[in-house]
Amino acid sequence: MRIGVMLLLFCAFVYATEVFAPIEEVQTYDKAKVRLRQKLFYDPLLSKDKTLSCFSCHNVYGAERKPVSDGVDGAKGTFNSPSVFNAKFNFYQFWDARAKDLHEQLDGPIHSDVEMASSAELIEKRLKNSREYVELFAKVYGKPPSYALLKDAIVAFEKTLVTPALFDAYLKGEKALTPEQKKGLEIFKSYGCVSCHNGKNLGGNSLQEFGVVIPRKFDDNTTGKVLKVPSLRNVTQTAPYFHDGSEENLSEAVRKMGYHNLGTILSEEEIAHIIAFLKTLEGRLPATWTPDE
Amino acid sequence: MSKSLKIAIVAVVFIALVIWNYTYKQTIDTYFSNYTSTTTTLRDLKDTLQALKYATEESILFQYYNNDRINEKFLSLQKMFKVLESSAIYEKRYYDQTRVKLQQLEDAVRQKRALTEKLFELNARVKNSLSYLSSQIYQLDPFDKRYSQDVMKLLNYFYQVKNTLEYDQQRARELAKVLKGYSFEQKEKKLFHKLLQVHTDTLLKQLPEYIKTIAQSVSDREQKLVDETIAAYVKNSAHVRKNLNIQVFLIVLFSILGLAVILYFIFETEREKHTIMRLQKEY
Repeated sequence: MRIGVMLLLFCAFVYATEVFAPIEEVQTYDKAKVRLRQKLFYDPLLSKDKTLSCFSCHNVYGAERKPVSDGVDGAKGTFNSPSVFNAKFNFYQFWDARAKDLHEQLDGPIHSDVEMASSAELIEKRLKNSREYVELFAKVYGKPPSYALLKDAIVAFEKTLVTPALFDAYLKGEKALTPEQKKGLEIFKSYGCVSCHNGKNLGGNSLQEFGVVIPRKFDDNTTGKVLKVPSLRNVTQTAPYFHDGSEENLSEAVRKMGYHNLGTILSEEEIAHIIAFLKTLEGRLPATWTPDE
Repeated sequence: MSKSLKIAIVAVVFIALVIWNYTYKQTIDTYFSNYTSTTTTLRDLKDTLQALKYATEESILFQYYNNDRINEKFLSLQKMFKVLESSAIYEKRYYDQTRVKLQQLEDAVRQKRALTEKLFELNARVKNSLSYLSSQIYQLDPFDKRYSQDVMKLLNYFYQVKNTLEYDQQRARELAKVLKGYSFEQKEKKLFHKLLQVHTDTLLKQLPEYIKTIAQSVSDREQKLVDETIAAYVKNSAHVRKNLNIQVFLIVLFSILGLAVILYFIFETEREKHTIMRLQKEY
C-alpha cells in the first residue's frame, strides 16, 4: 500500500513538473487552400488604401523589426508586432490579451484606425470584384468570397505557421543539448523564468506585469498593467523586444527581465547561458511561409 | 352506411394512427437522445471542473507548472457550454429553470477564469520570491549571525504561510520591521540586503491576496452549481415526459377507439349480410 502511494506520488510529481511541451510540424497541406490563404495574407487589399497586408507587420519570423508598426495614412501602432508563428498555441492574443483566439484577433488589425483601417464590407466588396478570388473561394469553399470565409482562410494559414526547434527534439528525447544550452535551461528553470514562460509556447498562456519585483516605468500607459507573457519561440530572431519594442538587444532584454521580474542581477555568464538556451527555440521557417507563386 | 364510406373511415383511422405513432416514436427518440447527451455533457462538465480543481491545486503545490494544462480545461468547458447552448435547453420553454442555472454556472466559470488568471500572476510572483530568498541562504555571511537568523525567521514564516494558507498581519509586520532595521556599508552587502528586502516586500504585499485567491480558485461552488443544473434539468425533463405519457395514453385510447370502429363495421357488415341472406331466402 505504502509503495503504491509512493509510486503514485512520484508519477504525479514527474507528470506535474514537466513544464514544457513539444510542438509538432504541420504535415499535411491542401495546395489549393494554402494558395488562397497565402495570397490573402500577402495581399494589401485588406487595408483601406491597399498599402498594407498582414505580411507588412509580420515579416521577419512572423514579427517585425520595428518597435511599433506603421499603419495607413502614416499612423503608428500601439504595441510591438508579435510573431504570428506558433500563435495558435497562445491562449491569449494581442499584448493586452483582448482576443481569446485567432479568429477574434484577426478583426483587430483589419478594423484598427492605426493599422489597416478597413472594414468587413469593403474587403468583401473587393474580394467579390476580383475574378481570381471568386474562383479561388469557389474552389476551396464552394462559395463566393465573404469576410467570414476570409477570416477562416487566414486563420487556417496561421495555424500552419508552426516552428518546431531543437528544444522540441530534446523534449522528445531525440536530440541532446550542448552543456552550455543545458546550463541555460537550468538557469531558466531555477531562477524562475519558467514560472511565466512555460507550456508549449514558453509563454502566451498567462498575463503578468512588467516589473513584478522591481517596478519599471514605461512611456506609454502600460506601467503597472498586466500584459500577455510573450512566447519565447524564435526570440533570437524577433528583436526588438518587449511590448513597446524598446529593447533592441537580447542580452539587455534578458538582463532587464531578470532585474525587474525576478529581482536578481544576472551575471554576463548567466545571460550568455540563457541566450544559448533561447537559441534552441529557433525553428525552421514553416513550409507554407514563402509565397507559392 | 355505404361500403366505400366505411373503407374510407377505416383507412383514415389507420393512416392517422400510423402517422401519430411514427411522430410519437420520433419525439421520444429525440427526447431520449437529447436527454442522454445533455446529462452526459453536464457530467463531463462536472468532471472537467474537478480536473481543473486538481490542476489548480497542483499549480499551487509544485514550484513550477505548465499553465497550458489549466487553460486547456477552460477551453474544454467553453466547448461544453457551446454544446449545451445548442441543445433543447435553449429551445424549449419547459427548461426555464435549467437555463437559469446554466447561465449562473457559465457566469461562475467566467469568474473562475478571471480568478485563475490572477492566480497565475500571484503564483509566479510568490514562488519566484520564495525561491530567490531560499537560494540566498547560501550567500548569507556566517559571521553576521543575527542578520542570518532574522532572514531565516522571515523565510520560515513565509513558507509556513504558503503551506498553511494563513496570514498573520501582525507577525509579518514585526518581522519586516526587524529586517528593515539593518543597514550595511559594504556595497555588495548593501545590494544583497536591498534585493532581499525587495523580495520580502513583494511577499508581504502578495501573500494575503494569494491566499484569498487560492481559496476562491479551489472552491467547489461550480460543482455544486452543476449538481443544481442537473437536478433542474431532470425536473424540467419530467414535465416533458409527462406530456409524452399523455400522448401515449391518447394513442392507446384512439387505437382502442379505432379498433372499436373497425369491429363495429365488421359486425355491422356481418349483420347486414345476414339480413340480406335472410331476405333472399324469404323471397
